[in-house]
Amino acid sequence: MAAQNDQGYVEFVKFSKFFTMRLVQAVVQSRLGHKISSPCTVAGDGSDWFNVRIEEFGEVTAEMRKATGGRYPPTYPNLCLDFLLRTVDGEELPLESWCVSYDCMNANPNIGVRSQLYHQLGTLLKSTIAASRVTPTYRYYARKQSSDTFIILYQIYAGEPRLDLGDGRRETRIGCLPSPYGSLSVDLRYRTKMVISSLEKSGVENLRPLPTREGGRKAEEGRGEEEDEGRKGVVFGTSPTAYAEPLSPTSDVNSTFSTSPASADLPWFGNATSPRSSQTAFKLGRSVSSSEDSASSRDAPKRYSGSGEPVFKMEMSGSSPKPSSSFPERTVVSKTPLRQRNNSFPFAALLTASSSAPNEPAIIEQSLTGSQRSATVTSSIPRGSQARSLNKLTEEEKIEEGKEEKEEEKDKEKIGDKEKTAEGKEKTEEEDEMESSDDSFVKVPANIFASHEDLNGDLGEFVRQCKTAPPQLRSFDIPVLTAEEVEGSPSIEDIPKQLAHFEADAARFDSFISGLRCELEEHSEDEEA
Amino acid sequence: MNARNQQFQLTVESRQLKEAVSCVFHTLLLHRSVGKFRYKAEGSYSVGVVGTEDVDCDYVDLTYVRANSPELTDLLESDVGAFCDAIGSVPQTVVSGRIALEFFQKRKRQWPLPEDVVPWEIWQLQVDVVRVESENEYHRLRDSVGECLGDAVLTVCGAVNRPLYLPKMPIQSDLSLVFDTRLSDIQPYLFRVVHQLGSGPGDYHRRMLKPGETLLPGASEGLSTTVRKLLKDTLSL
Repeated sequence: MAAQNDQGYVEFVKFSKFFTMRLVQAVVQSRLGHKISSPCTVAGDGSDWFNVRIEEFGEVTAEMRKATGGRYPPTYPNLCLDFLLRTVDGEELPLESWCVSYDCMNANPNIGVRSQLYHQLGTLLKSTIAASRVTPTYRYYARKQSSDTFIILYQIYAGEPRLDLGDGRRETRIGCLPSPYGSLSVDLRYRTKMVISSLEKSGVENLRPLPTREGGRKAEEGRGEEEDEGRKGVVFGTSPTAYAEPLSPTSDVNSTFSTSPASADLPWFGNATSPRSSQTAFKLGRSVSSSEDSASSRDAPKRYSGSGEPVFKMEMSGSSPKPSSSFPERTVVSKTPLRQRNNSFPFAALLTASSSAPNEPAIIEQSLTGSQRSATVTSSIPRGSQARSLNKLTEEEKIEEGKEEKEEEKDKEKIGDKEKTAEGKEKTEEEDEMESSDDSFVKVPANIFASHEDLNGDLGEFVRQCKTAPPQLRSFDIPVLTAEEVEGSPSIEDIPKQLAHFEADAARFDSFISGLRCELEEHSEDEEA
Repeated sequence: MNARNQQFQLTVESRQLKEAVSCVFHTLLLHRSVGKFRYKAEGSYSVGVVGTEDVDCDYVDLTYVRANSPELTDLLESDVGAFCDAIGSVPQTVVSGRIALEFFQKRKRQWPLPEDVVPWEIWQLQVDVVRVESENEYHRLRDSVGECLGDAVLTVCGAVNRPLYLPKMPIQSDLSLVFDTRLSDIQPYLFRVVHQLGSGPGDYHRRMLKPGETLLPGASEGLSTTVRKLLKDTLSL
């Protein structure tokens, strides 16, 4: 191996660093859920490494620095970029993993670093961009993210790939580029069976929502020095407040990010411990602190490993074809002419949940127009299977809730609660209500005005009057009519007669009013005099 | 010099043909294009930047990436459109055709001989165009074609990053022998698109064809006969 202090090696290290950074930027940006378009230009600026235009988001750069301590291959042999799908209920499904590897043993002294390797790195970067659009993550999820269904999270770390992508995962090498100092490789691993099992863990503890604001080019340059140099793992501060940092002066895509499902006002990102509470938190728009967020993210997989029963029970059809391609395993049902991609694809329900048009012919019409690819993909999912998935989930949730209620009742019996069963149920319901109210609610004390002496001014006076007010004012006393009085009271039929009577007396009423006015005017004239 | 040769097989519906071919060829051209060279002096030049663009297919469940150059897109579209028109003109239920994207370089020869054209990489697409009877069939095809094209894109990515032959970076005077310098915003390697109808093992890529020129089955014999006759006539003189 060549000496590591020569100019060529320095350039190799620099190229490797910027290649890794651009690769992560390109792939993460492709998962934001919108189309990307960058123009070809004759004169590039200094930030366009490898002659490929890739925007740089400061937040992603900052995450890379946090994850790697500012060190990239070849300093680290591997740097991984993982993507996971997280549902609104806190379920997680590992999707794919990109890995940049350095192998010092695979060297080729005939490669020129400044010319040949630089050009090849540009080609490899283009390959990464092209490949990122054809994986299941992009085809089925990236463009369909929604705050109501699911989002995609990413994680960057130095080290061997640790994402469990389940059976039937596919691995492909995008490219391997030798150099005089070793080779750089990009490998892609992705899930083909979109099935989550009860014992399956994502293997990822710290997740990062996709950026919601543009970080800006070079905004984070020079920030990495203060990061922990020796840290290989990442402790992401997933606080939504982090997005509020003014990271970038450029804001041409800010509007796009504001519509991103990974928005800063979606606190359920990190609050995955309880689907119920996460939904509540989402409705309340409560912001979560970073510590809570990261902690709950860590707890999320444990929730399922601890329970013996999986929340999602998959229908594994025996007729499911083996994955022969880069795309999720599907099932063909002979009764339905449509190819049922998602019969063994439980997260298909998520793809359809965001669809506002349940009418299948309408969806097909959309697909024919071809303008909405998402609508087309939705149309290929049989509605029956969607209903099965959703119904099954609902039933299982009910079963779980029933179990919880029974366990609570048993606990109460154990502690000698002698209340009647009905009362016990009422209490259970009350407790359920209390439990369903997430602790994100700010509880208001019931006796806040107990010491009204502490209150000053009008508020205190009002409280005192309320406290000293009689239980019922006489003016609001309405006599209760007896049956005879009710019978004697005017009915609807009498109303015309009464109206006629009032009309006859209208002149008398008018004279009474005019008399009052005259008295009032005379009274005011006397006062003026 | 032997050119690298790679072939893909696709079965598509007529509406999908253009998008399918464009997906594969644009992916290839993205990899085989560089930023526009701007020479300051001989041996000193700056390289432009290649921008990319996501393209959502209308008739295939797929998004692909292409170089964001309208000029390059128009250039390719005219060639692919000619192939699609040729396929569409055949009144058969199933129509087969082959379309190839060839990257080549030119080599100067002594006057008065013209420049020699040497292909160094050939990507062939064997396409069977079928007619679908129902919407369900069409939707199945949308998905399956998307899968096949996705696999093709990954195959292209794996292939172009192998340490294989690429023409050397030329000096300024020879730039047009390696790169297509007609475009204002991007500089692809010299390429051409040729096609023929039918599924026979045609050797169209070994002959000089103008971009978009169609070789019908049986036309090759006619061409070779004509050339042979021309040579005989010349020698007899």
